[in-house]
Amino acid sequence: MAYPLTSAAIETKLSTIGGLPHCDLLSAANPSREGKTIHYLRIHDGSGADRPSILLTGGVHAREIAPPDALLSFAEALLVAYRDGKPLRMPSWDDTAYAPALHYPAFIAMSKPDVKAVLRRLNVIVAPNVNPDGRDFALGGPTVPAPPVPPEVQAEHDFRFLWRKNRRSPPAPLGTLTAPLSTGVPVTSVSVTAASRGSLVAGLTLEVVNGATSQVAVASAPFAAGDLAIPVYSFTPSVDYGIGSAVNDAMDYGVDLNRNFDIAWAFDSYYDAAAVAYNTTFPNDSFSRVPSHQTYIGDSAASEPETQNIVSMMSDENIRYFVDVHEYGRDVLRPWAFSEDQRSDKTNSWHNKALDRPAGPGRPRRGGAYADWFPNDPGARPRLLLDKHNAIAARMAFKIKHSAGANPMAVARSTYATPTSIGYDATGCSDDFLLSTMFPPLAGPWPAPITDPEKFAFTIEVGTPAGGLVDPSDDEGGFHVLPSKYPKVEREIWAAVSAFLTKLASWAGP
Amino acid sequence: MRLVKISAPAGALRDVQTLPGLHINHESVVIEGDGSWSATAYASTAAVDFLEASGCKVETLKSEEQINEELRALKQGMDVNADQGPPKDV
Repeated sequence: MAYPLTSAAIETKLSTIGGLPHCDLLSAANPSREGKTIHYLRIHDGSGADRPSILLTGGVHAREIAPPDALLSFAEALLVAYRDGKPLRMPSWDDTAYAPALHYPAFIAMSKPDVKAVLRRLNVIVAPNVNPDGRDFALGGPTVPAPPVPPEVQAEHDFRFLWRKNRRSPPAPLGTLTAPLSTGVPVTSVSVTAASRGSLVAGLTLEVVNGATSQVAVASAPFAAGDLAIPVYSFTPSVDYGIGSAVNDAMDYGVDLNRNFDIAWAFDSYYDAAAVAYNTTFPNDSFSRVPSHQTYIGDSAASEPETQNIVSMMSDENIRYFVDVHEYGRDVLRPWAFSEDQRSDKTNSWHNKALDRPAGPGRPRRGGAYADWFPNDPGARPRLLLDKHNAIAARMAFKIKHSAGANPMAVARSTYATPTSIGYDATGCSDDFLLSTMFPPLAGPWPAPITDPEKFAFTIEVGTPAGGLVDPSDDEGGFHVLPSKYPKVEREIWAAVSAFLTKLASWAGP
Repeated sequence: MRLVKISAPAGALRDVQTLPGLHINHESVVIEGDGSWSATAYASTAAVDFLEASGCKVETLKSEEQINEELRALKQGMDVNADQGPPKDV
């Protein structure tokens, strides 16, 4: 299959796959911000309200190019294997970047009985491209010509290929900045006529963009009437891609969908002041209320139609199992992303509103004297939920490693870690959200017994960053998995997802 | 942008988080016992100049043209796919 697919090509492919036996083609609840229809698949051979359902999502972050393609190919291959009464088999592949080529053998992702069990016992929901606007923006930048490259072309190229968020239009300007600006002349003061957006107030440093240059100023004084009027969008610190380019102010577009779910979304209530201050110095990773930052959480929890679509899928399809596929890191992650976890003290929980600011103290950041409760009681439901999460994560990682065959280099390149989280605090994540729906309604007393069925949620980070994790020779292209490396990443996604599905089918068996 | 490896003294990591034109690959960050760290990153020429002036060691892993070429190859695959029209039934 060609790689990478545009969002339109993914939609076309979904239509084709949706025509296969035992597959329903479904429309997401909402079109994307830019009006694109988003389809997904329900794979099953059977019906009934009590069938376990698993949701597989990809493309949440726009620049993470490979997972949508791989989930699509997985769905198609699973259906074809079932139709033909065959195992789900991944062919061999040789990585010719090495001399001699690094051989990855063919492997059976699912045996024939496993394929049969999965379709007869589970509903497998595949939503491969949940952020089509972002994907098209990331893939739609200019193709850079041979040198000399016009600076504005290079700037737009660099800006687009690292795009992460959806494509929500920028928030309304805070107001009109009037200043005696001219290109190259630093701004020394600004005036904001409408100084409120969310919790952001005047007095912070502002990023000022006038179309020709980007400057930084501190709000201090009004300007004289008649000065050049400029809309003000952003607070610094901000990431500024391409000074002088046509996209200079365009970072204000978009919301990070994987910070937009309703779980610890209001990070400034969940954490204490020190944790907020620490984490917001990493606005490309943790979370931010600044629209121009890559982890902008949005105006409100689940504000984005793309987020709402995933929430609706989880609800409408009665999802108990969930895998969200991202790039990069070679990790199989499980909740919580917003905190380290512990298994005994129910008081220390995101659910305990007495800890929330401003009434409560808030919670320290990761690595501090706090960890959030993860159910793991051996004697009460949900029994040993944390242990079972760890076991499934290990199972997925093992299947990936096993699929690499016997070559030590291939095995090393296919070794996934199973840490608690990606290593920094992240709020509003989809996997945390699904797990949080096990808990009683927030208005209820706490601690309170969990009565909903147990749920399982994971995030897989496939591939390595550009330049490798540690070894520069272990470079799979980072967010933009190289076409020459895509078959390896595809294999890994097939292996991990197959391992999970096979386990679930065994749980659901007679 | 080029792809670089940055080696820096303790404390500098937080200071460069929001440096314009710098995108650190955080999964690549290695922090040594003395607090010094190294990481790969996409960086503009201006960002590299700033880093070096700040005492960081910067080693180029891929030039801007190499990255451009990789993205060109990626987009060629996309363009080929677009030219193929609707996928064939399986």
